Amino acid sequence: MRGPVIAAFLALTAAMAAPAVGRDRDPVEHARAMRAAGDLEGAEALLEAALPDRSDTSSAPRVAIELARCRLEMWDAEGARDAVADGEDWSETLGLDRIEVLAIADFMSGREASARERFARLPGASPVTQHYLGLIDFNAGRFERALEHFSRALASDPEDYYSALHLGWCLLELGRLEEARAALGKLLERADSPEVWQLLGRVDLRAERFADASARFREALARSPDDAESVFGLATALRRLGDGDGAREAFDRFRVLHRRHQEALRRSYVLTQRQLSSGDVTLLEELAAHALSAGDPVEAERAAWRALRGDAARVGARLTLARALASAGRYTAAALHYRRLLRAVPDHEVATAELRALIRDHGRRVDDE
Amino acid sequence: MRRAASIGAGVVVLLFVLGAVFVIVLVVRGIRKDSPGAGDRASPAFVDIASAAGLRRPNVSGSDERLFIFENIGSGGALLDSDGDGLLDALVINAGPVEIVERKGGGLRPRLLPGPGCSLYRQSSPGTFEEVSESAGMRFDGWGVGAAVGDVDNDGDLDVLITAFGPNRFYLNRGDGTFIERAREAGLDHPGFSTSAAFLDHDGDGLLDLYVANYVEFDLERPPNDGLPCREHGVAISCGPPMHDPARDVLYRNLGDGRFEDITESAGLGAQPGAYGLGVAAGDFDRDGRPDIYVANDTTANFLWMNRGDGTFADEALFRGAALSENAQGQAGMGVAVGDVNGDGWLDILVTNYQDEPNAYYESLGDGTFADRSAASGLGPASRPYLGWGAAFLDVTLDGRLDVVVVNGHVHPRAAELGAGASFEQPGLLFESLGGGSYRPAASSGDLARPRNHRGLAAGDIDGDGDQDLLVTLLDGPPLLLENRAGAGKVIGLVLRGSVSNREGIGARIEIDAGGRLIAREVSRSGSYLSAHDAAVLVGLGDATRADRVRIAWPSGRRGEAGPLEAGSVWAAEEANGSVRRVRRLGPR
Repeated sequence: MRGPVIAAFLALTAAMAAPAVGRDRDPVEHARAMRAAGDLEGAEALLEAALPDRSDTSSAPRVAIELARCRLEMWDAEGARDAVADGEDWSETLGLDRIEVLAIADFMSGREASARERFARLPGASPVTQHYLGLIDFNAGRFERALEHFSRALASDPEDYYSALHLGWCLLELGRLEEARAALGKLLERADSPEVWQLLGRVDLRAERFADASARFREALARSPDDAESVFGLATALRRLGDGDGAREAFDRFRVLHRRHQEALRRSYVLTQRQLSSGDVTLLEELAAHALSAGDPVEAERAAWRALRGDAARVGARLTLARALASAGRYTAAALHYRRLLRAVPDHEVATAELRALIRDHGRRVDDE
Repeated sequence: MRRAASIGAGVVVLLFVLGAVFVIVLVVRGIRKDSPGAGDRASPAFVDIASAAGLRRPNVSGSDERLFIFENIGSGGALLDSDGDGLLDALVINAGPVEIVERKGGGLRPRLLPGPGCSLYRQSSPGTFEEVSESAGMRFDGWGVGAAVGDVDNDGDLDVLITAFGPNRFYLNRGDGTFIERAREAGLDHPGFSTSAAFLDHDGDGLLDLYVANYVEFDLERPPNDGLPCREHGVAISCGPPMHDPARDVLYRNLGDGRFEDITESAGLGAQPGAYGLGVAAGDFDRDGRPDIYVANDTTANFLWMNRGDGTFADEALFRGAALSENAQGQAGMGVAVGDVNGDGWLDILVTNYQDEPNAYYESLGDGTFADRSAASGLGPASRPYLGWGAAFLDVTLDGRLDVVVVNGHVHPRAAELGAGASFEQPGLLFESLGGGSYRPAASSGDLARPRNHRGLAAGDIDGDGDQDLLVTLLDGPPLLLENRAGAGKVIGLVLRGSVSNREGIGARIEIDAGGRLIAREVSRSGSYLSAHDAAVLVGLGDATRADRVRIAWPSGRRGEAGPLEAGSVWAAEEANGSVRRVRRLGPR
């Protein structure tokens, strides 16, 4: 269940963008509005144009911070670091913003020790910081400490879904099963998601409440039929209940999903390594398309952005990005990228058809966003 | 008056002395009673005596950068009495250096250079080893990986398979402690990349058959990624298993005339696609009297080949609950240990995994299926910071409960740059059994705890005192010979002499009634990682001074029973006539 971890990052990063405020002479406010509308490249161009104006020493750091955040949203950790590279002597407030940007960039790059050190330097740790610290400890198996961070994040923001999810998950890992059941049950009241049901199933499985576990996994599968972990959990619960036939049927189903998942992971690994060795942007494009077809829109978005950062004219990467955003329910941003693609290639029939379908099916949502 | 006073003073002194003695006795008894485990003992559980004993040749495994997968899996070892003198000898497998050369058409390729060779150290007198590899005919300077030991021709001496990156070698014992290499003649010269292997009599004909795990397909002329290193967080590392095609394991049937037949397909093992096989252990997991095979696979689902009794096997790991992690993930299975951990008479399984993956403990449910109790047992969470390899269930303290030893070490020399808390060299771990399948890390495991790049682990009683010592191989250094100094309880040793069954009784089930407890063990040399244990069964009895009854279920189906047998001795059980006789008394600890 890695999706929620990454999705948590996306949600938090997106939350950094202020509500749309329309065009403004202040490039930072203007850029925030563009980010909120999903136009990250437009925002970046605006900020890059504003950045050389160092005569206004008071605004340059703000522009740099906003530029870094914009690049983080495009999964460009290195670009974010570059944007704030010469900010060692910024004022205290902007200095803290810079540390947060660098910490997120480190987290995104897998440099969790460095990220942890930076986050820990932020005073009065915000819910976002607490969430990241929780994720870092969670990933390292330090569940007691992760639990503390997620608890603090929730104390500041009780509606934080991902912190609540991870809090329940920590309790499961710590074997505090009754508390885990209570925490996840409470979360379920406001977020009826497959991953909450799946975690509840795992809590009951570990507590050897197999009938309850099978019911929970069935609920998860009703919401996400191809979730291999839930199929595995259901199969295990049925086996422990003595339903051999049911278990075998579920295990057979799992075997198919698991093999598909393994093959997809292997393909991703091979493409990633080949791309890192060769620097070939085409392979990033291929990786993005592969990830999307394997049901991983987050990885698809990341790879597509990396390809576009290397070559903004990559039609395949732009199309995959639009599709990934659409499959994640971010319709406005998806439509923007379809349109951008069609400006470059007006007769692109697939993009035209998909954009039409998007507007037809989700036009109201696009307008609302 | 003076005399009375003197007597009175003497009584006071006597009472004081008696009282002091009584208190001391209580304290000592209290300490002994409360500290059966290594964790509470002041002295370290294991002390490295390798150098003093004469085990000094360092292992070599490629270049310092280790940018190819075969350079970081290491080599194993074995404990065996190679010359039948009653003292355990040590076999240390070795790999070799590698040269990186440019490929025609771009990229790089590795070239294997002759290595220092495997080392057979003979224990010439108690505690003193001398290397006899050359004189014993065990010359192999290729890329050695693992060792399996068994008496394949039932002639009373031990034969050795050395798995390799390249053709495997098979050393037939001439009966005088010297060997002749017969891999090609025996049909065991598999040319791939073999890792762990296990001898077992899968068809009950009294001859040891052989399971060989294979890791990856690796063409030295055409390495993956054009021979260029892979990258993680910007750090150059060896490419992981996904960049390689997985290799298929092989099952051989012993034909009894010095030859083995590859029966992989006919036995049903071809039904599974290849995996990245690393650890192998044989055991009768469903107690049907036939040996099954458990295989720890790297990054993919583990195998549990259930013996159908008709010469074929079926992989039932998934259905039986021993294939994956609790949350359905394939883990980086490296080593495997098998034993009856919770005293219910059924074999449980421990699999060592990658860093940030808890080691997996699959506890038997008493019907040949398993529950993942990695977290609840205490074995999983404490292992998360480490990358595990060799492992063994053994009764370190001789209290009748199986403790756990796991050795660790990262695969990437630049591990510290890859993530939080990683280090190339890592400590070994000793987990003390609390009974019922629960464990806690022992407080003082001695030289086992020193961070090193451990790989193989083999257990056996090197000094003849009844507790199990350890041979541990390193990726890049001389081996460790860890003398167990934590054995506190009484112990009984059993060696089996098969006649209808295979000579060592590999696969026999032994049940011991002692002190009101039932202790079950299976005779085996397999398990751990790239290594072979000694086959003697050493059973801690705690405070019990004897085994009341000993029951043996031989692989042939015959049954034997004996007892009471006095503790403090090694007993030999003969299948032919059912006799049990004392072989030797155990030495002092």
